[in-house]
Amino acid sequence: MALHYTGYIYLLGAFWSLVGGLYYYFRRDSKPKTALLVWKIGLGTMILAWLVYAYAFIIQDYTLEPVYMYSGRHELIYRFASTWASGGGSLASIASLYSLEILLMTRKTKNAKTILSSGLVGSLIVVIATLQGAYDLNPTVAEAGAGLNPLLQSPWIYPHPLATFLAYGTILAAATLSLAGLIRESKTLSLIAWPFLSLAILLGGVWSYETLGWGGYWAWDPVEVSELLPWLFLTASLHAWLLSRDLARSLTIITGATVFFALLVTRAGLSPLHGFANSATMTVELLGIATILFIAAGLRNPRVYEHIMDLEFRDPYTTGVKLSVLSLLYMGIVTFALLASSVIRILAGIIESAPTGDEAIKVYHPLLAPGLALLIVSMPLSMFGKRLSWKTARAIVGSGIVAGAILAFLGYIGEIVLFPHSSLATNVYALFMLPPTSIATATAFYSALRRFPRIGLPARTRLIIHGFTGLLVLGIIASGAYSFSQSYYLEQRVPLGESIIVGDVEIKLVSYEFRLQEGEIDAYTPYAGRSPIYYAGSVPIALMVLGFGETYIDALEGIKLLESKGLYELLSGVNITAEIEIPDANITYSDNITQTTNNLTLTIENGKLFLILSPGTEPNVTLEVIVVSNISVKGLQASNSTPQLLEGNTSTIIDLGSTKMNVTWLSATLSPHGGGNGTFINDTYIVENSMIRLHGELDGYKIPSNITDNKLYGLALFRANDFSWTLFRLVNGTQLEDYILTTGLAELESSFPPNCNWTISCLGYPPVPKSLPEGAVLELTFEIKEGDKVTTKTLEQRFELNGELQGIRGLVAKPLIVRVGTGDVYLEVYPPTQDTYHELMIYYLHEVAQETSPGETFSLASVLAMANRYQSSNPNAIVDLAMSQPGLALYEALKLYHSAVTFDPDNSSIATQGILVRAKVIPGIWLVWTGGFGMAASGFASVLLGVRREGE
Amino acid sequence: MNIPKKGDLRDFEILALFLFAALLSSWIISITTPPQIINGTDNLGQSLNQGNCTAVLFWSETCPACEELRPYWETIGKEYNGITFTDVKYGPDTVQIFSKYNVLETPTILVLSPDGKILARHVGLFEGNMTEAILVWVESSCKLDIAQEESGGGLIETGARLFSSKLWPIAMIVFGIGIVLSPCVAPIVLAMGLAGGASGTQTRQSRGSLTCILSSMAGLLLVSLGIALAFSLVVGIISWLKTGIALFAVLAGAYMVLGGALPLTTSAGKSCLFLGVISAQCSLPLLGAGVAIAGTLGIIQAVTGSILLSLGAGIGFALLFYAGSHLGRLAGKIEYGYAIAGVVLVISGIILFGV
Repeated sequence: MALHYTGYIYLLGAFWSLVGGLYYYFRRDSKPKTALLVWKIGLGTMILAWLVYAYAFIIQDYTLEPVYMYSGRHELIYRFASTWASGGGSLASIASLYSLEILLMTRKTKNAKTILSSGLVGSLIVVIATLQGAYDLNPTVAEAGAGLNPLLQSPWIYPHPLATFLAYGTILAAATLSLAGLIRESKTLSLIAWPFLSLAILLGGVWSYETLGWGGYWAWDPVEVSELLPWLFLTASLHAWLLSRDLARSLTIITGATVFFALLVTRAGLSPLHGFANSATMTVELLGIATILFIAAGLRNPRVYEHIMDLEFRDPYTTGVKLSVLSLLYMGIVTFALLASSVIRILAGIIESAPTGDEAIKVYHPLLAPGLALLIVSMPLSMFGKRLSWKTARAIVGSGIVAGAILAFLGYIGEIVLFPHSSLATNVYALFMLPPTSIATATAFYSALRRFPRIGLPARTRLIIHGFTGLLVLGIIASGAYSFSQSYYLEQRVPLGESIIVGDVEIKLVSYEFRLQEGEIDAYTPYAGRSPIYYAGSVPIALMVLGFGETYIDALEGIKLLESKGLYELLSGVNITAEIEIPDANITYSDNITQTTNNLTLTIENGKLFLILSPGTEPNVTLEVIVVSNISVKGLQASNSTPQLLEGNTSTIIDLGSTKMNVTWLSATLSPHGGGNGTFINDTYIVENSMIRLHGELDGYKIPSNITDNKLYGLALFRANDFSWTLFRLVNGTQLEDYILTTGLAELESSFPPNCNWTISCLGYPPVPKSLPEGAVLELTFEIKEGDKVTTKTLEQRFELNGELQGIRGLVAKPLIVRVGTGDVYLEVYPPTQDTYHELMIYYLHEVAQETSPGETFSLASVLAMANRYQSSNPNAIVDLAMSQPGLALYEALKLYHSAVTFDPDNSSIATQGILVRAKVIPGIWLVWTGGFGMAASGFASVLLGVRREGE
Repeated sequence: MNIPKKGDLRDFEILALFLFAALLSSWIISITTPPQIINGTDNLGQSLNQGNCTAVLFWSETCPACEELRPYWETIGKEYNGITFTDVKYGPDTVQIFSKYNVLETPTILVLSPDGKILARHVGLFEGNMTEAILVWVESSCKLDIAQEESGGGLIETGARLFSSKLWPIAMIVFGIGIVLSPCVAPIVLAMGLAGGASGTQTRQSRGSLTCILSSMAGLLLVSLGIALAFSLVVGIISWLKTGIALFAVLAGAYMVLGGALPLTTSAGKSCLFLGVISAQCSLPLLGAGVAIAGTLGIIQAVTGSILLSLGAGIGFALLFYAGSHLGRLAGKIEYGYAIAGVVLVISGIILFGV
């Protein structure tokens, strides 16, 4: 398997570090300096490799598959950021950061275990990255990439992923050093990793809340949970340092295992939300093995169990620390078990994706609630060192519990309701947690300020971390239910110029504007012949070439000619009511018995002309006409089986209003058009909506001899039912019509591969333009009134062509957030739609239609229509669907095309109906941000101060 | 006596922490209230826009109690004494309004302030003369709002009524003494007295009384001053201060039951300053009156009024404190004096929650 050259640099680095490590380890007696140097060069190469790797993204080297698949002609900041947008790329980044951490922490080490194990772990990550496709070669020659997922095209692509990789790399390094026995360095790395990981989780929350419009900051999505998991273990391990080195060391190693597991969860495609992660089986297996090995290594030390099982509570301080480790471990194990069960069930094919949102809440909340309560309630115990007496400790914790219980009781009887649409359990739990959390917050901040002898600044910053943790929990208590639950939304339509009032804020929709994005992308090369969407998208075009187009031309001629004689209008508008006597009638019954009867009377009521066939020539018009009508047949004998077909000869004259038709022949289907049977009432058989074929002559009308059968037949096909007539009308009068009438069909046909005989191998190459605008933007301008303060805010909805074509989600709709005090007014605007298509896509196509040929516009419409349907099904199903129902596929494509070419941006649904919004108030959300950022910031401060102190 | 271990938290530190925690908790409760999203198209929304206090009957066709109640409701008419009366029948169009106000049973009557805030909720029928009972309940609920309204209109009215009498200085003192008997402070004073007696630290009662008068006056004047300087801010805080004080009473009470001491009881000065401050929230209209008077009658009268009011309260506190400590000395002979005082505090806290 050939790799991109960047991959060889990585693999070379991995190889050297491994060789150096092995040699050094097994030649322990002589401790060769060369081996140490080789190992260092290996690690160094892995660091440098990242720079080369990132450079490939910056210069858009499309021979590297991830560049081709995840990047495009973006601005530099996004080209650089797409380095870690792919699954393999993020692993490669982690490998380099890991190597950096190891090199920095072990500058002077000669510890053989460290050298070997870091070589092993580093190469493992590089191998997994390779398997994940980080260095795959692009098999095609490309001039443009598929582009970065639109969801990721935001400045947020930097802080959250980078903080995550830094934390993961650092944790893995800490675990490696713990394994090797470099305890002090391992602890330092753990301390460094903690604020990064806390920050990463928080930034992920802010990202999803502010930008993605997921409604909240936490959805129990497996990928979110997988990042919480290492946090719980890492936090537990940091507390464990205060109790026992053995325990702390074990937990540090297990934290490393949880990072492997988190990578597994992210790459195993578990998450319905993080759809941008894709998987490779081998990767999952290797990560699974690494997880298990690290857990095993962590649990190897027997003294660990003694420490966990030792429940002797000597003094309040140790008790507090111990309870915190136990509660964090409890939460960590529960989280791990729940995630692992999802992974196993998904890999076994029992479920398709792990539970998220409301489903996951039902599992996670009740299981984690006791752990969080224990953690918070016991927090004040260890805030004052060993100085706190049992008496004071008991009184503080006890008072919090008593006050919590009283509040919970008041919540239970309905005296205090925090969340009116949430369960009683949620209300009761939140109320119970309030006083203990407030006390924990107050004690932590106070202890940081209190005058202690011999307590340094680093220790004080660690106390402050706990204060911010309390603040975070208070924020979650206030905002959690409102942000988690969908039931707090109110949906309302807001017409242009009118407002919605949410809380104390009045939000008025002032204006809107559609515009194109500036960049250009290639929507053909990366997809043609590869993307299922393009296969499906060429079905409507094939249909157009294979018959639709020509039939359409015929029908158009037919209309013209008939209209010129006034006959078409006469026939299409006609209503028939007649009573026809049939002297010689043949009746076929459902059991295939035929019967001949004299003297049947057929009554046609409210008949409607349906189809014209076979026009004759001069002098009078001979026609075959089908009418749909309610009919009743009198003179039949009631039978066990039902009559189905009536054939006979008549010479009745039917009055068509202004003219008369001489019917000479007749057959009638005696069952309703949609299926089923008619009903007998005495000797009269009544059928609703049946079909009757009449053959007759029409007085006074002549059809010119140049009308061929085909032309009228084409029209007849379209007039046959509402669906085909709709297809006709969607093309009628558009530029596509002119295109079909001139060069269009030949042009479209030439886009298919030659001599493909119309098998599936023809498909996949719809003539979509090679250079198209990146996307379109809808700007909604709101006027926000809070009391006397009026501000204007613009909300953007973005349509990204690449996203849509990748079948992910081309539409990115941000929420409108208005801060009120410590809370937010959160307003989401549903994208305005016409039928099933959102107007941004319609507008985009509308603009594209001005610049490209109707055939190209139609092709793009066809592909987009399929992409739109593809979003909820699997890739190959959409091809099957399009091929089994080509008419429907064509309908979708034409519908989108028609909407686009007739679209008027100034008269969109926003102007006529307004926008549909849903809004809610999320109280206390700023406490979550403050608490979270405070935790991370004081964590960083504690590390910096601690490092400085060590240096002194 | 509680002799703290070296470096252990002292009682006053713990109580300060509790006070902070209680206020933090009650603030969280106050911000976590149902959001109000007013849909401009519903009738109720229009009633609210008239700027009146509104009483709404939520009813459904299938409930017998509603059938019983509605004739009485309808005799009231659309408006009575400046209060708008309206009703919402349960149906597909109104489900959202029912859920917006969290109405789960019928009949429910809600009294809403002009800005749509729920002032009072009544579920079921009324006793006795139904029409009269409804009117009394609705009117009193509306006043609930006026008293706490930020605009201060209600305060000015109260103030003007008070000052229209020539005997207003005496009225002020009498009202001041009355403050002491309000449910906000009386149980706390009692508990403090009990605990003080139990700790046996109050020896010079006479001097204690004088200190108490002065310091509680200072406490009250402090809040008055706060109101004068930052009216809306203080009133905003006071709307959730009651829950905070209730929670604090519970925390402090539980703390005493669990073996802590109440350091405030050892000093009449500190404890009465504290009492003065917390009693302010029960007598907000009176304090607000001072502000109102300053605006209308002049600063000197306003200052005099506030001082007289505080003086009255101070006297009240001193009397109650004195009585409490005597009671406390009796209680001190009982083994669990602190615990009993603690239980009294917890109960007073629960009462303050409004159960």
